[in-house]
Amino acid sequence: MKLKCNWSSSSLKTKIRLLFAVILCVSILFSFLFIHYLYRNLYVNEVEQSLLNEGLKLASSYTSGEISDEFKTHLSWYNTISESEILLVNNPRELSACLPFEINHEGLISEEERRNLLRGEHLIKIGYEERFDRQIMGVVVPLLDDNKLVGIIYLYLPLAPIEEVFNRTTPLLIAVGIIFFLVIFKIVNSMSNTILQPIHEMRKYAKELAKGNFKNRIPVRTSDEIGGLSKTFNQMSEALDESDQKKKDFLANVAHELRTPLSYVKGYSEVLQEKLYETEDEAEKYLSLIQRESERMQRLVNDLLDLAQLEGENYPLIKEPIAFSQLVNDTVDRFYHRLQEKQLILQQHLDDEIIIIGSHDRLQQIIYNLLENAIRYSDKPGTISISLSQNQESIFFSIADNGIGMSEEDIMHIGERFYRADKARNRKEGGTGLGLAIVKQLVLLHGGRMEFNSKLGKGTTFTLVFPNELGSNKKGLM
Amino acid sequence: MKRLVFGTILLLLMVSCSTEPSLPKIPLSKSVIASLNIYDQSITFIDGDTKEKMIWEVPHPFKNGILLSNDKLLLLNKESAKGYVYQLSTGKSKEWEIGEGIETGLLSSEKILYLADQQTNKIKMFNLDGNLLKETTVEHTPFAIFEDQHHLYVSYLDHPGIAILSIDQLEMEGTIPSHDGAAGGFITENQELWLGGHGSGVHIQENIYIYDLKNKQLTATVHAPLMPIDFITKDGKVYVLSHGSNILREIDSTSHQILRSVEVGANPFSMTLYNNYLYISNYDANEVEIIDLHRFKQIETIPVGDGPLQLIAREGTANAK
Repeated sequence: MKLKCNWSSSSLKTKIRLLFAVILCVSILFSFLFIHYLYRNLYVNEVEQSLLNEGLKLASSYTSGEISDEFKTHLSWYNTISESEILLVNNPRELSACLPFEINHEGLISEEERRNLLRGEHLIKIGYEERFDRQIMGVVVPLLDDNKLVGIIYLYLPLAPIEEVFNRTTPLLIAVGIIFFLVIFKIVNSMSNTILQPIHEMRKYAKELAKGNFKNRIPVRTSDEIGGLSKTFNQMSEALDESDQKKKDFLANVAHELRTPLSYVKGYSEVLQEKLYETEDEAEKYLSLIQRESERMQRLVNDLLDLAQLEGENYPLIKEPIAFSQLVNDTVDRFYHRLQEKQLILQQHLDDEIIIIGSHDRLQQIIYNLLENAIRYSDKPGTISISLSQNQESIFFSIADNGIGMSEEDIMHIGERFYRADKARNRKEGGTGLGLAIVKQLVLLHGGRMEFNSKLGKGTTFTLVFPNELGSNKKGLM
Repeated sequence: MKRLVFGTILLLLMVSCSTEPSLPKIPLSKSVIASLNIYDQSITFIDGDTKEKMIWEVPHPFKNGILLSNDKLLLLNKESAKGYVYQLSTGKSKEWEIGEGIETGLLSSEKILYLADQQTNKIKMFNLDGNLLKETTVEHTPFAIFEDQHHLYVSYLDHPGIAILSIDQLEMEGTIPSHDGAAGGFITENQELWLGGHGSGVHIQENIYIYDLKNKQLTATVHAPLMPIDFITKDGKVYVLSHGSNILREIDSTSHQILRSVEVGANPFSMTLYNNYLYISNYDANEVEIIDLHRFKQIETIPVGDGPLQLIAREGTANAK
């Protein structure tokens, strides 16, 4: 448990080091064992094979009958020059010939071995041999006369020299192993530093980020996972930076928008308080100015609340089938006086059959805001065209004016809160700078999208595209 | 469930089969030479006339056998406390409690069974019903037992000496100094004990030692290399088998002259006489060979089981049913 805690609380670097050290140790150990096994096996096998070959060659010079003195001499001479010890045994007692009985003597071979030799097989002996009082590697080759075991040739090498071969090489192997371990560990160490450096940097930058410093960027050095993470981290910083900037701008805008009407209200109310007017009409005029500015503030606050609600995640929209052209007509009626006042001509091309599924009040708000916007930016005499059409998939609603239009730069900012193409005009006309932002949110809530087309001095066209839910149903029914 | 019952029945059948192997019956009328093959635990019965073979697969190890009667064969195994008595004519067996450590024995001319217990150094005396009549402790490990009219002579495995016991009471009556590792021998009509052996340690015995039982001393040696271990006497001649050099010799019993010799098969351990033919077991070659005593020549070899160590001849009963 303690180990687990230590493991989870130790740094990534320590973990990587530890992991590699363990893997290295295990693989080195495994290699050693494997080499040892292989070497031993190959070596011992070779020794065994050479002993056997030697034995078989010696045995081949025996033909039949009793073992001749010449053969014995030959073998003892060979024994003096051979690396291995060679014994010629023809004492039947040593060959376990009497073994069925208790004979008070341990033969060189067991009864079972004798039976194998009688079949012409040779014996391999590895291990401690009591007779020689040492570890040996031996081969026993039978000398058979027909089916009689006349004798055996016993060739052996003490096992000690074989072990010595390994004992000699073991220090070298260990030294090589240690050097290999150190070199690999050094490499792993520096590699882990390289890999972990960006993570350390990221940690540092994340701390800065937590403090509210969004300007820093992590240098991206690699294109691997870590590099990708750094890039994403930078993107996140940028996004945070941008949103922070927007928040600041928004607050500045709200403050600015509220300050203007407040200063009007404050100024004119002081004038009225101090009775600095000359005529009653003048006083009336100041009062209506105060009222107008407070109304504007109220609108502003209402719009802000609206927008805050709309931008919230789960804004409930009560949808119902609505005759769209009727809704447009009803809304247009509310602008009758203002159109007259600005001498604007309203052209309408409305498809009366269009039924839209949506919120009555919110759709009306959309049309109201767009129409108000068009009137605001139109100069007299001008024309405002409203059209409503549909196809199978979509309903298209557009309002076009031939007013002042917008520059390329303005178009980029359409739908942003408090953005005005003509700042002076808007404020004068009583706009809050939030109308299009609200329209944009409402259209999105209805599953539609807002398109616009504008040229400076020529006018602006807003087109809203809503999904034609009934239309597609119809198609489905057909 | 059915399968289980069937399986159980099958298992019971198999178990009962394995505990009571049915051994072929050896009719009393037949003369047979039994080859006790200790390596594969079998007995090969060779018909003395037709040379046909019958094989017993014995369900336990054994090292030695003593023919108790025409129809009863006692099998001895040193590691077991039991002796197994087989009825040849039925193949059925009985167990005798004889104690562990018994490798050799002798059925006396009085039909008393003497067994040498090498574990507790005792000579045990049994009747033919398997009842222990008497036992006595000897000084060393007993090996071979020989008899004359009044005495038992017991050679020691690990001591150069022969114990003399009274044949009825098993009372120790003296010892004869002898050679080491004595095994195999016989007593002549002239109270001579011819004794062979394997030798001791790395020493290979090459001589037959002849002891005078009256004077209790060595009187002669006969050179018969290597390791003379089995003797048969017939018509004033002694046939001696030397297992170390695979040689059978014919020796004159009075002059001790070697008359004839012949090379036999690989590592012979035992021989028995039947109708003027000598049957010899070749332990390493897993065969029994037949020597015609007239021509003193091998006339036939018969393959038997693995490790034929001992041969026993049983004469058929002419008027047996």
